[in-house]
Amino acid sequence: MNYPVWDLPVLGAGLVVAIIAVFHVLVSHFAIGGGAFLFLAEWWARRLHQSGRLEDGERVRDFLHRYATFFLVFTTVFGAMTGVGIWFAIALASPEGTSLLIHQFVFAWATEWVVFLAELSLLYLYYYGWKHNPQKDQVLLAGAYFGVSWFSLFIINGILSFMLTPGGWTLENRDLTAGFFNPSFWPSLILRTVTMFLIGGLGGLLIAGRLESEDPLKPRVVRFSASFVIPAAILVPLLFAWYWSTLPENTVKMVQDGVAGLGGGRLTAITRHLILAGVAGAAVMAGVLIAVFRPRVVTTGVAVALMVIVQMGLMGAEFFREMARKPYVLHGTLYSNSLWRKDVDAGAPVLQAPFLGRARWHPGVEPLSREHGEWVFRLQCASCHTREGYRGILSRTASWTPEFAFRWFQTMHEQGVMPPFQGSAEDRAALAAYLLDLHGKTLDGRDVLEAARKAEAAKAPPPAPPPANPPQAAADTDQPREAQP
Amino acid sequence: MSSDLSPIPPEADRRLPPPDTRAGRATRWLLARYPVWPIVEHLAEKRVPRHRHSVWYAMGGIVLFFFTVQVITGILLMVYYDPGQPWQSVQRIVMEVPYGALIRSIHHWAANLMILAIFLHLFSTFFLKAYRPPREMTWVTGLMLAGLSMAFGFSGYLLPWDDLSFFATRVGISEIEKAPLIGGLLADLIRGGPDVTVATINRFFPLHVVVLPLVVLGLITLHLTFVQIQGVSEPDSFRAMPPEKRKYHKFFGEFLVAEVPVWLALGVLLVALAALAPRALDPEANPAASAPEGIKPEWYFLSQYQALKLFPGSLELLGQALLALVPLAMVLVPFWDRSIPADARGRLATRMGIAGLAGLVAMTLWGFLS
Amino acid sequence: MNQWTPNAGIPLPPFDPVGLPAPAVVILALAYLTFTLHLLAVHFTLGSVLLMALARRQPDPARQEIARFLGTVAPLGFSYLVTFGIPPLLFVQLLYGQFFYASSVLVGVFWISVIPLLILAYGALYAHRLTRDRRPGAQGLIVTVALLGMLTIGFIYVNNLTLAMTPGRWLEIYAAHPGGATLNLGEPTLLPRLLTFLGLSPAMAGVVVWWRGRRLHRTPGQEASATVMESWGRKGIGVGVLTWIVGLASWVATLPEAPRSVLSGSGIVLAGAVVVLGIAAALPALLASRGGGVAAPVLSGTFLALGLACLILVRDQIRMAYLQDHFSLQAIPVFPQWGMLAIFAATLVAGVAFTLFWTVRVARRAAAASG
Repeated sequence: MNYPVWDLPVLGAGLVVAIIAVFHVLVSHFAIGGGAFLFLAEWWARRLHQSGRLEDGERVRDFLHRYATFFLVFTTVFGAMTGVGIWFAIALASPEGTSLLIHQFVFAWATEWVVFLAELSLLYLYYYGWKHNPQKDQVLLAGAYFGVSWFSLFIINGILSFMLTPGGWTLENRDLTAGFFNPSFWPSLILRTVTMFLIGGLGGLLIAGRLESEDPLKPRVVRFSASFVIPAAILVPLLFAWYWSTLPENTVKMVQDGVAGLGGGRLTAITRHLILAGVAGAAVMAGVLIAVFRPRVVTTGVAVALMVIVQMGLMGAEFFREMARKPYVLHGTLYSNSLWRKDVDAGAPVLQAPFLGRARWHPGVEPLSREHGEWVFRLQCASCHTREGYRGILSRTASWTPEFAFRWFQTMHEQGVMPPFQGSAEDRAALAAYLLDLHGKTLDGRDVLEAARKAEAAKAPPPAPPPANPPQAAADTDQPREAQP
Repeated sequence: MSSDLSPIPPEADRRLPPPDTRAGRATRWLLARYPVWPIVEHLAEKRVPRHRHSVWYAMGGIVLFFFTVQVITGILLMVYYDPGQPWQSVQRIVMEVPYGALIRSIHHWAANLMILAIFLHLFSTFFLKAYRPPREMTWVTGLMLAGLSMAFGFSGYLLPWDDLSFFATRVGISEIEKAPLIGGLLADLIRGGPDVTVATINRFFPLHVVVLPLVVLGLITLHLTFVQIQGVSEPDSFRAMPPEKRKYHKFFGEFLVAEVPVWLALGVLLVALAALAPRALDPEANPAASAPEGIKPEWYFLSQYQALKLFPGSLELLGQALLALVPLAMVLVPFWDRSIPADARGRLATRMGIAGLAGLVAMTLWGFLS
Repeated sequence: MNQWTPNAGIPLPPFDPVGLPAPAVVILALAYLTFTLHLLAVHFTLGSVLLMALARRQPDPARQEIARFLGTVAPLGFSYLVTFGIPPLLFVQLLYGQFFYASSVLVGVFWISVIPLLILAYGALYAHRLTRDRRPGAQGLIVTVALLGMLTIGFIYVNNLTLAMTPGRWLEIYAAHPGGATLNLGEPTLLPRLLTFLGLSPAMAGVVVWWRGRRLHRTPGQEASATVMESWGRKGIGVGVLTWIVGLASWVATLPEAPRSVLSGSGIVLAGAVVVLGIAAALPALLASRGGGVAAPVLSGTFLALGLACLILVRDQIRMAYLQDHFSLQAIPVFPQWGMLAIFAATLVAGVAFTLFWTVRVARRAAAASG
């Protein structure tokens, strides 16, 4: 709450991060797995050459050149740029969280940059040296590229997994080693390594799709590519189980609440995305098996379809990973709306102080006015919720009454999905009035306070909203069921 | 040992699995009882031309895939849906039934994507001129299927009985009511009374889960049989190539197998859409309340709805007559534009098609924005 | 209820609670070094695209050869300009994050649009390279897209970085545009800064074209092309240095009082050095004769690089002067991560050595193959 909140209509800052990140995850894993593919295929070509099958070796290298051209343009233009893009976007979505990561891990990042610089240069030497480099050098360059790029995954994986499971790191001890080699570091690293082999193999299918179906090379290239995909597709669920065992307790509970108790089978967003990742994994497996048994039908369309499946699966997995941190952006330390856990631990004196006095990014408002509620919303809610777009607040509050809203803000954090409300009774009243005002109801904070006082005076539980309205059935079902009156 | 079993044709004997294998025995057993070898041979020989428009040939299969998804998810939803308590039962599906929300969202998204795929299938068939003789009846059955699919959408939309579905249906039927002479009668017949009520559900539900599926399945069978008998049409540009340059895919061994990964991708897409944008259930319909602002029909009715707005007051009749001409003209196209390769009529038909498509897109967008 | 009335002061966020992982002077040194490399790549790439856009319009083979050469190196330049842009941005966030993050959010829509613009411009350069022989017709449009994309990115950067130095404007801008769909257009130094930090582009590309022309003189039958290349390169240097000095002068003229006072103190030496080095870079281009060795272009290039390095030092002094009321590097707690710094340094040395080894090896093979 020290920084302004990017109050982007409809999308919200979070979705901007997600859009860039989902794409980047595909390309960046391809950038590494594709490196392994280049390395092994160069080796294959060299062995063909050495065993005297010159023509076969040349054909494999022809194929590889196409792969490499696509690889170079795709990974440097889209991969590298979207990588920078994630950094830009997270700094806008959570300046405070980004700042903390940078201040804690700047030299890890700088090391990753060196690695990336080497990775980029090796790729250029490999590609632009195609004509003149002896084949042994090409094998070595591709291998070095793969090794170096995998090391960049090693580094970024430490920072990424740190956000979800900081382990022994705290804001006070700033223990770099504990934070970097955190509980989910190894499962996450190996899971990603296997995934990138899978994507590298699919990249091979993409180029194989361009070979004529009569081409005798086609079945061999298809099967070579599939040999990257199939073992990976089998390993991913097993590795996920390991990863799962390292996740924080409340994350596990969050997912299980979504599917468990089949009596209450509503699915939270995090569970839906996990299902998506699983379905996509099964579909990739099925698609690649078709390719193995009918290699000649692998057209560009088939390969693109498989790539799209993986892209959607990765989207599910990455959304899962992001949502697993709820309500934190840095688990146990910083909430997703930039509220510090230490401020929450300080209790009422900080948490219940007038909010706009602490959050200074507002031009000054009339207490209990619409503007008051709007600025509370903007500075406290808008980092996750838009008004009527992504994670829209309108559909989540359709059934709210003033008394309910006023009371609910005090307990919304108890489900472990939202941060606690910051501010005084007047802040709560102003926010409730603003949200109801968005629904077209004319009232201000004073009316909310009055309604809450009456409800309190009647000593009855606050009146439930009209039974006709099913709050969970609204656009998204993230809202904990128990939180409903 | 005389019997009425049919002899196995020598050609079949050669191409089936060897008779000492289990598959070989089973196929011969069947073939001796059902002598369909000529049909099998015909199907096995079926070829799809390979050219740069090939991607459009996948659209029919995609529609069929979505239809299959609809049948499966529809049956699952029907297990819990209760037309006597429409909204409450849908709420139960969303809130209590395991994975009910997911199935419902997939049903919703597959419906929309199916209609989108039908549009793509229809327009690609039109612009590749696959409707010309001898394929007129394939075209006509296709048009009927497109119309019935929209009826599917319209009848299914009401079933959850929430605010949105109620008012959108009311608006939709009130457009029908404006038709001359029979409008009122027709609207009453559809609604089961002067207004949309639970009685309407009692009509839409059997329509949606019994009548339309039966008719559509029958028509799909006809449509596909026509295609199998006549083979896939070849575009003019493909026919113009010298024979040695024309390449084909086998329909079953290659073309269809290559389409399976695409279906898999679309299946995952449905799950992704259900994960990202699950179908909401609004508050239960309250016929006494005033309609929420900006209520509109579903997007596939939007262009017609918007077009009718161009004809206010007494011009309305004219608008309806013009709109009715569109499907009529589409049915008649193959009987008018018959020449292969395309002649002046053919080129005119293409231009009209482009104008029609542009009008459809423009009207739909306008409907969205207004 | 005075706590809800507007802030008397500026809503300046506090420094990050983690503090600095190394003494500020170490971080500043790394920032200066990498930012110099970044600016070199920026100038080279933008200048290449600019000269390419001009050369490709003329049909004679020498100019086509210039366009071809620049079209081949521009995508590589672009990828290094982005890569060398990462560490300075990292270190800016480390030292001045309080200001930088806040201003980025205020211009959020434009700031994030840098990413699609990067993809567009970079993609256009590759599209140009991979399709120039097959589709000559579309090339003009493609090159224009790349050029405009790069210039727009520069303009957005200048907006954000000037806003980061003027926290007094923040609240007003945020209250008017909480969605970040705005720029810092009220800032008088915008265009002068853009000119100062991009103006040298034709010169940087000019150095390389000139160098290439001199190399080409050795190839028999290429003398005509080589001569045109030399003259293009030298003209580029002249135009670039002139633009740069105009930019510098207009920047100084539009600076507010406080930061300008830097130039009357110790900054005058650095600022003077910038101008002297710029002129020194232009002299070989003006005076050298046709043909001869590559010493002259290398000398020009070295002076340009040194001039840019000095400019970066001046720029940082000016930034500190802007922020002197709000911020002091000395006040920030330092919790050194010496181990991590050592790992970084070791990786840097090893990575650069490994890459250079392979670069030399591949370049030798290529040179041997082309005779």
